[in-house]
Amino acid sequence: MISLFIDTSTKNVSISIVKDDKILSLIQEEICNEHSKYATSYVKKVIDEANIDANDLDNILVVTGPGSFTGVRIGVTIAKTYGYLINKEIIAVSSLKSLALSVSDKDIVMSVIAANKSSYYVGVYDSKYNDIICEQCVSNTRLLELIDEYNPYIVSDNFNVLGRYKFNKVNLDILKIVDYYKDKDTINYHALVPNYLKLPQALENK
Amino acid sequence: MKDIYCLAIESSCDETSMSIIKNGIEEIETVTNTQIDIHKSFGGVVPEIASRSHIENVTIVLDELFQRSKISMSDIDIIGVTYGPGLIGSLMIGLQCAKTISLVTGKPLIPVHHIAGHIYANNLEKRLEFPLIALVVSGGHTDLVYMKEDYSFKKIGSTLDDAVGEAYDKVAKVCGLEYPGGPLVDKLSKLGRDTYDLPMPLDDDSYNFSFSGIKSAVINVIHNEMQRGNEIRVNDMCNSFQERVVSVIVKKTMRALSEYNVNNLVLAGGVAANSYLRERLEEETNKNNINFSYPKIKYCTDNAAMIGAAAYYAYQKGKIADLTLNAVAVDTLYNEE
Repeated sequence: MISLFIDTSTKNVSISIVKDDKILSLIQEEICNEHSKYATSYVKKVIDEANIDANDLDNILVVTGPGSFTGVRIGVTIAKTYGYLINKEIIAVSSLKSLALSVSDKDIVMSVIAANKSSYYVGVYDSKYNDIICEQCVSNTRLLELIDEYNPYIVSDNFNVLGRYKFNKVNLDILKIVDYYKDKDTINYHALVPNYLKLPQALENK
Repeated sequence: MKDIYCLAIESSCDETSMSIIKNGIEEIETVTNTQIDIHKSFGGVVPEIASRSHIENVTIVLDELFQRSKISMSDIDIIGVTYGPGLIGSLMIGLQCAKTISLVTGKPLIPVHHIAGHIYANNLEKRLEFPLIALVVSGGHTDLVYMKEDYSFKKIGSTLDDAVGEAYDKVAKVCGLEYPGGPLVDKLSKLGRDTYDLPMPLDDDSYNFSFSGIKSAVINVIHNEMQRGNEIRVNDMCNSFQERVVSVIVKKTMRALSEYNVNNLVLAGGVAANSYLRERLEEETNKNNINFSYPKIKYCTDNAAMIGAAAYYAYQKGKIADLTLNAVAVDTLYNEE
């Protein structure tokens, strides 16, 4: 079972080829605003390094958000097009749950990704990675309330401090994410869209 | 020579368009999803909403193109894609799609400048003859371009402020016309007369244009009249505006043809659909024995067919991009000699 994993939802880009329970190739890099330039070339690189043919994939997993709107669209467009070309359905991965999956042995994990200066995407998970609250976009104040309520271990895509709380930056554990999602529902490439969790500004103000 | 089939992708603004073009001249099939109704209620294209619509449609348009054309991916020789200029978030979708196709199939990726595409829209009607002057008029451009041969572009003049299509749309907006108002200004102009005393746009020895002055004049006249409680004669306003704008464009274009000693004129861009501009250029070029061509209306607005036409000649010139090709919001086509 050969899987391609793509995450371009934050500035930490992860692109990898996983075969069964082994990483064949992996690029994990912090790149700012250059996702558009490098993402497909990285996909090519991991395929070449894994020594497989572009048509050999059994699975395509892509992080559909929430995160940077443009960033998410880059990965999702690649996944949709790739899926169409090799006629494979796609597995949509949550950016927030990916962060939670990358830590172990915590009772309650909260994943936080900054949406902008004053709001955050947040998810709260139990030790089996089930959603305790549904993933959502919240204000500073609401995030602090949630932290007080759940007293979670907090992970983020970036080092960050909010009030007296420190967010722990984690690198994605690709094997664990792929393993968790491998039996989850797939979605047709035509129907796959980003999970923005936020309206465009033009609609928010309407 | 072997036939070259190009799969072309264009997503620079609010149209997701894909096309298959044979040898740069023959349109096999084009599928375009337009978002115009989505943006109407905002009075203009909202970039984030455009990007969201592109990604929803990207594989659907691709699939429909192959279904309708009865051509399969293995018949395709090159992938042509608009890399700029345009809305970054929109360009990105077509670009990632094109790059992924190139990555999976190994077919060469051809970067096409959006304006080169507009010029080559004419090639789908009749093979371009060189040297030529191209008048590029759209919502983002007002350029006079000299081409001595295929895929060689030298800009000889350009707008210093608003593009002509932009000025048309803004005038339409203050006249209370629905977005996109440019074509309506052309239409209503036929029902009116040149009665408003508007200033002429830049009418000097250069080949440059300026339309912000006349646009501001229209806005001022309308505001003043409204404050006085006077009715605006919209048809007359459209006529007065269009008369001056088209006159200056035609005058400078004809002078460029004569000074560069060129016998071929091609019209390109969204405003190439403007009937009065076509009419006036037709008249003048007839008088001066100039070959004049303009694209069919369906090739005037953004479409991938024109990108496929341009891609063929870019490919002949060896313009092949690698997978790090990036989208650019602003880029000059010129001096690509």
